[in-house]
Amino acid sequence: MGAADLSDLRDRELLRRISRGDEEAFRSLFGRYAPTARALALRILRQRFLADETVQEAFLSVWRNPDRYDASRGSVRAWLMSAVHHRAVDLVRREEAHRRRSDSAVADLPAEDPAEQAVEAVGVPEERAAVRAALAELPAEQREVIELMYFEGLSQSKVAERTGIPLGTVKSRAVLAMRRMRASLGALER
Amino acid sequence: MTDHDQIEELLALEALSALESEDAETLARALEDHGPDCPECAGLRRELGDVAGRLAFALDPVAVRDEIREDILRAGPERQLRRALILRPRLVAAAAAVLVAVGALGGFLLAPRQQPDVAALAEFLSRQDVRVVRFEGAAGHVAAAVAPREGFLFASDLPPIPAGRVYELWMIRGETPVRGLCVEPRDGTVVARFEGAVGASDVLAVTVESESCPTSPTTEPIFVATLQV
Repeated sequence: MGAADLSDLRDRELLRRISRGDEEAFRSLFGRYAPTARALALRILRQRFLADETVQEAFLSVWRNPDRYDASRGSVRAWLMSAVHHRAVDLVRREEAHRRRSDSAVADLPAEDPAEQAVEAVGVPEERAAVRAALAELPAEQREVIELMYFEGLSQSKVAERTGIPLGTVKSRAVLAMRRMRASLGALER
Repeated sequence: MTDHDQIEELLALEALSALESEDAETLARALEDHGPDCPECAGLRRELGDVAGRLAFALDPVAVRDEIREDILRAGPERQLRRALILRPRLVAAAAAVLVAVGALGGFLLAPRQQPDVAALAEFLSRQDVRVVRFEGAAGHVAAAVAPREGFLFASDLPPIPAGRVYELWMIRGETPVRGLCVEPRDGTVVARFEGAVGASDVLAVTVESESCPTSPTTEPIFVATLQV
């Protein structure tokens, strides 16, 4: 059993305790994943207020409805991040006209609150290393599509528009990238 | 391209939140054709969803304030999610008054895109009884120039709010909030006049509300300024 599996077993146990109203279990899950969730929301939304609201809503949903997690659909951490991602992308698309003041990412945010520094020790370092390695192994053109879709929140046609690549090529690059990521991350866990 | 190749492609886009409506319909039809028990479809959806969720871990984590976590725990199953995230503790107490039901309506509703006349603004700002207060709060810059019975709200770089929502200004005396104005920013910017017993207020607060502009706040303030120290 790999580290990721052990980590997921622990997360499922936390969810089980949360379903019984165990606040310490919630604090543990929150401490483990909220910093990554906030990084993701900030990357997509570029507004601290909206990012915090997105994280708060996603974790409130976990606190109120932990039973919504379906083990047949993947790991707890992936489920949590998908919930944050969907919320952030929905929000950013509604607000698209107000956004995109520049092309770079979180670095464009106004001066940092000292309490908002990156927290390296939090979460799951093995997972972080594995995902970064898998992304780094992608051909540049596939990685670009993933970054625009996932980290920028662009739809398939917006990616085609942004890159000047035909939509069909965008789709095929996305699926090839995901296939490679799936193989890389799956192989690491075996 | 086989059925499952096409389904994999569409599921990959779905997992990345990049799928658009026409393709989403195609995917729904394809999955329906295969039936809910198709193990290959279920496996693809699970694995692609898992990969997409895990992509977030490529980012450096960013610290989250403990208040957010504790707000969630306090929210419980019934209470409204708190939206005031960055108020200073001293102001939180004052702003909590916002949740109290409002009495008589003392302000007025501003047409969202109404811009004040420059001459009127200059005249107002040159008055002896006008002072400027700065708001504490979420991203952006918010200030008000206030006189005893009226004021102007100025804001720039306001965070975008969801469609159908507006910013609403409240004048709070004791525990009673009175609506000042309701406004939709233009490119994150607001210059708007409001009327009411500003001089008698302790606190000015801004909340995000529905565009119906409720007569009492339904969310907690995201910007607060103290008038009486």
